Amino acid sequence: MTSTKKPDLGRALKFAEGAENTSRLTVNLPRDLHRKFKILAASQDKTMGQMVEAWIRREVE
Amino acid sequence: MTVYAIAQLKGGAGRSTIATNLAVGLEDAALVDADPPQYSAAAWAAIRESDSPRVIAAATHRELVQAVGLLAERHKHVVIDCPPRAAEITRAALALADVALVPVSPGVGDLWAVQDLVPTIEAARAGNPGLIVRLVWNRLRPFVRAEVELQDQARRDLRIRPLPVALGYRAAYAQAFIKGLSVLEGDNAKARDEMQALLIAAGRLKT
Repeated sequence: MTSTKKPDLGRALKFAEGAENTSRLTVNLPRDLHRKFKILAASQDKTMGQMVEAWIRREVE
Repeated sequence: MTVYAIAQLKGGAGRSTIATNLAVGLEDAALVDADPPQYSAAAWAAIRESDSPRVIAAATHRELVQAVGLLAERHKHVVIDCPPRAAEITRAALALADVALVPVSPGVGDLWAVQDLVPTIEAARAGNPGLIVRLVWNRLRPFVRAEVELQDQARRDLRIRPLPVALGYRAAYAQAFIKGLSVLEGDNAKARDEMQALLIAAGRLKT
């Protein structure tokens, strides 16, 4: 008897990308602010996501 | 529906040989060749004079996940031929798989590569606790003492159990592959019998 379970594609994708146990946060920013933030992150050799996560950690912890 | 991932970080261990033979031997199976840029299994399918098994090439982990999602609705078995890298594709394959088969040739390099794969297997099990993992000894010469000793050593050193069936060192595998065939379709009785035994042993893992 073989398994009848359906593959959990979303979980597999998250695991593949090392993003298991994470939740996505979507923020709408004015285009100009988004561009400035992107330049700022690049100038520090970071992604925008890394900078946002660091800021949230500081606020929360 | 059962997903088999054929995973090993060392090249030349027999991943595509085992993947293509499993895909031919398992009932209603499809094969995903997730080993770019070689795509050995897809090349094997291209020279094969049959549309079965269905073979899809996946260049990225996203394409692999999409392919398995598609094939899982249409086939009883999906076999994934993984790349020799602990990259996103292998991680996705292990997250999707019910059974991971890890081919090993009797050389210490293959066993070191298995040890390098273990952390990825353990991480995959956190989200896929039902994942069954077995070594598959390939190109084994049971009359060579050093190879038997290596098997014993692997049994002691590795936490992954071997399948009770090993594939021998036979030209029949390469000869079948180059014609787009499985040894199950060839005339070498020893190769055919041991592949049949491997299919039974692999199938029992899910019963």
